[in-house]
Amino acid sequence: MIVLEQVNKWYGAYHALVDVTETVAKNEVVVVCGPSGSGKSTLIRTLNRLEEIDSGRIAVDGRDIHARGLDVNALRAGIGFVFQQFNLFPHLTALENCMLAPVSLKRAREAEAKAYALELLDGVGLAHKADAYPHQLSGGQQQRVAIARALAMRPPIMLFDEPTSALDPEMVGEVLQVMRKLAGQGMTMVCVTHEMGFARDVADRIWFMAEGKILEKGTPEEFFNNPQHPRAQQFLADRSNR
Amino acid sequence: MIELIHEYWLYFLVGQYPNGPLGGLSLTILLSGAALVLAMPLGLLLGVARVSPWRAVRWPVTALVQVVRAVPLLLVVFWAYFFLPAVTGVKTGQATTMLMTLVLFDAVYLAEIVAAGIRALPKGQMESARSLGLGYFAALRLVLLPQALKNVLPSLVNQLVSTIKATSLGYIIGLSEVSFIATQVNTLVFTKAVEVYIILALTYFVLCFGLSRLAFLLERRLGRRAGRVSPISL
Amino acid sequence: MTFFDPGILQSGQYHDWLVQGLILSLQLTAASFVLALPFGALLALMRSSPNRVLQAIGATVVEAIRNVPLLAHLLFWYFAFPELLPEPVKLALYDSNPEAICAVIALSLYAGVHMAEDIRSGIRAVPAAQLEAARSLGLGRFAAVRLVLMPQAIRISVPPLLSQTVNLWKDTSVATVIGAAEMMYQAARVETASFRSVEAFTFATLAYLTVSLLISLAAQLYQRRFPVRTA
Repeated sequence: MIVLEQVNKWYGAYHALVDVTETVAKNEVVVVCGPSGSGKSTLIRTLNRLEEIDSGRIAVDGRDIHARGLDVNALRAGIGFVFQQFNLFPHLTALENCMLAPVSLKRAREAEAKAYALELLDGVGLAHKADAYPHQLSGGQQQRVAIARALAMRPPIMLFDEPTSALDPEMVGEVLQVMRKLAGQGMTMVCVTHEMGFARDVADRIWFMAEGKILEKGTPEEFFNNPQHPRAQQFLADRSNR
Repeated sequence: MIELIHEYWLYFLVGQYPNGPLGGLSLTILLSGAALVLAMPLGLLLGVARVSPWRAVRWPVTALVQVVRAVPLLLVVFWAYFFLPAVTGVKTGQATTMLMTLVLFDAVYLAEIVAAGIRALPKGQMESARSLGLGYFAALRLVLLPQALKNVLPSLVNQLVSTIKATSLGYIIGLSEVSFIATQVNTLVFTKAVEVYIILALTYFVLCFGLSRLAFLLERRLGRRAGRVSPISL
Repeated sequence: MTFFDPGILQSGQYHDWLVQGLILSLQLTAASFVLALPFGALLALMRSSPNRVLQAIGATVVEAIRNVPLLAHLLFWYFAFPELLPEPVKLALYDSNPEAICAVIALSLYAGVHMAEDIRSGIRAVPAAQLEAARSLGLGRFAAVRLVLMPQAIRISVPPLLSQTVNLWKDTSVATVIGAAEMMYQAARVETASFRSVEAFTFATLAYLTVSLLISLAAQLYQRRFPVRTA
């Protein structure tokens, strides 16, 4: 579904992504973890071109996303992205947030979009908050609406950039629950997260990143029980001492 | 002072109307309102250009804004009133000249207000709109501008106050706005200069102070509705 | 008649008029600035003080001056104010240079209140915790304000104050309404005498542009040399 070949990115002299080569298969759930500054967010943001790469190739669904003449907007419409800071549109209700893109991009008529949006909001447990504005919702609720909003475009791939890092601890669970359900339904997902419990339970594979490189790429069993790279071992040791 | 007001209030309010063109306070208010409204489309366009990611769009507009803001408004009025007729052959009246100049002046300041409003929005808003597949202009139209324009409403009201004060420059080219009328009255009466000009000052004060209080209340109300506490109320 | 004759800008009577106008504009700016800044600083401190009465007086003065256009101020100080003076003072005023004097009074007050608002914003921008920290070291109130609050407030205020100075420079143009022979007055005079509006207004435009841009440049250089560093 997603193919990365020798992807490199520099911020000035700083080498943020180093020769990243990986694939994500359909229906696979990949969790990306690692210390801060390792390039996890940068990597996931290159997949829908929120960040541009300096060399290498990225293909989504077989098509090179940097091809000449490729419509970036169409690419993004086909990939759902959930931000750490939710980024809901404050001037619209939860329902309107979910309807905005499908209607204005002419993917659906208003009635259809509304019906589907309500269905999605129900799916994240917030049908009763459809007419609420973001500032009336808690952080966890906002993030769940953000997930519904991304799903409203019916994307085959969902990307999550530290979706629970900005939440108070008691709200992390409700968002992870939604993500687990999505994974259970067979969605292709790439998640950057620090939630190791989620990774252990839901991920098909874990990419451990440090200094712009993917150092470990095994299954959760392999990663948690038998990490190969010393950095990964250090990372897991630090986390278990907390 | 009361006799003065009693005698000249109508002249002060509407100038020579209906025996001549509209003047006085009505002209001041009408001219300011018209200028601001007419300047909105241009100001919006220039403001969006100011935050554009494309240099070819951003730089010329920035240059225009810097130049217009570096020069006194009166100078622009003089260019329009003395030079433009020589070039176009069309002699514009004082009111039209003032209106054109004020529209330009307002458009440039509105551009800055709109640009500031857009820049003040969290970066995530544009990103999340684009990540849903919305194009740059669709994102501006549906997500950024509705928020930005609402947030800068108090600044828009303050710009109206600035425009009202700027209309006074019409005096210098002989426009019968309220300051001009006041001086006419002063010439007629001759011995009551202090009263006349205090009345003029009070008129402006009531109008401008009233509007800026409105702006202040708007800002408080906008801050409260978004769930944030406005720093001013602390 | 040629479209643009730079000759009249370089020498001759019209040139002299315009240069005299430029000089007076600069003088009005300088004199008003020197009066406006302390006036503005005083008002800002009054509005920032915990004393309710001082706050109210400061606010009243600022709002009263700010909400009246500069032109109306000029008309008041030139036509109305002299009537309030005792006869000998009034005659002394008329004997000297009433246009310039009244212009400076009006400009100083108008620029002063705008500077007051910028300085007040600068004071507010310094976190209250700074004063607390200073007091908890044992510094008295006056010393804390002088050594900790004001230096930081001034650094924040300098760019907006320089921006106000540009506004003051532009505002001197309005003094033409009371007959002060500054640059706009002279440019209009040249236009009336010779119908050469282009040359006269181009001179004025270039002069205003140059000084405005120089002051703005100074503001940018200041910000680069003394950036605002938060704790």
